[in-house]
Amino acid sequence: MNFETDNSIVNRIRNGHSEDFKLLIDRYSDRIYKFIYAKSNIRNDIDDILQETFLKAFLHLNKYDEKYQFSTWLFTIAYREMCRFVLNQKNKSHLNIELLEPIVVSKTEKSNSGIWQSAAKLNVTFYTLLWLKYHEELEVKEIAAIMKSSVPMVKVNLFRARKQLKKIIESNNNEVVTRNEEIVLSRSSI
Amino acid sequence: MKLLRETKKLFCREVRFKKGKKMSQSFDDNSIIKSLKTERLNGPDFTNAQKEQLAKIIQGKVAQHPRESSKIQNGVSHHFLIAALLVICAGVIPFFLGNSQTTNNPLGEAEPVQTNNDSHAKVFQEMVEKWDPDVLGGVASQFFSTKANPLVSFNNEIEALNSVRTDILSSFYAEFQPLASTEQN
Repeated sequence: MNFETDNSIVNRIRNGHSEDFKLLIDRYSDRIYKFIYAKSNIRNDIDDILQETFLKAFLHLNKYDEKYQFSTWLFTIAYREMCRFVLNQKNKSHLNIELLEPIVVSKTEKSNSGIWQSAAKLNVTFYTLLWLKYHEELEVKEIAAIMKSSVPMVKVNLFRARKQLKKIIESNNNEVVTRNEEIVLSRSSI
Repeated sequence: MKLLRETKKLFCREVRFKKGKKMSQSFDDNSIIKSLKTERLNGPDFTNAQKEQLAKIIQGKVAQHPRESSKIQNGVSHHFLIAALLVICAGVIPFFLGNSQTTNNPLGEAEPVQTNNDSHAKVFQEMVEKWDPDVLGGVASQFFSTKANPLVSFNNEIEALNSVRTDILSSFYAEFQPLASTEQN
């Protein structure tokens, strides 16, 4: 099977074959989609971030440095878009809370596994670190390039992220225990 | 001795406690890492239809914002553009400044040669008019009051001459008045 490298596709797009960008969309949209999907609760926002990520990748393809992997560069854009989105959301919430109620993905549709559902409660940086390290299985060096940080800083932040995740899981467990106790009490009273 | 032994015991207990705590922590950390590695997101996949749609949307948006050309995107050419702008500014601004100075004398006629004092005074006058009066005003006023202003220096000379004249006259009268009185007698 003839597997074309990302760099050769990028070079062809740079030389004017813009239609080949679809190949890159086919290759990476699923991975970027899942990365955004785990963090965001709103479907419209997921689509927006995904579109902006690929659009920026296409428009600034000349800035792509071939010494890094294309996926690393794409995740860098996606991470920044997500940060920008979170910042906008915070600003919007100051202006009008009602505007933040568009189509929410239903619980049945969003059947995240437990650990990633908890990880989504972390801030964008910690969540991205965990995702890139454990879901995407990238090297710490690559993660440092994406986050524009140093390798030791990435390691420290990974440890902090795991620590915070542990706290979230513990608090979730406590909530579940208290809920179960409430249910048992209510049944016994009946 | 007893106190020392007790503190040693306490220290050992604390170390054991810390070790235990560390072990339990690392165990928890390991379990989290394991579940992060093994558990996968069960969300919906990005379907082929969605990919097609995304490609179409991006094509549509690209038509609105065409991709930046590689020449402008290149960092070196950016620097070149900035350098070229700086050079143009450096050339054009003094040119206009020079022109604005020559407009005072559009025919370019040779100005009459002036005395040193006059030319200095004029130069300073121009400087004071052009530049910030707060900066140059003090210096210029000092200069004019003492050196450059011909009127002031002339007045000073007249004063000095006057004083000399009075001295001469007084000495003259002192010498010749007695002679004149004897002649009259």
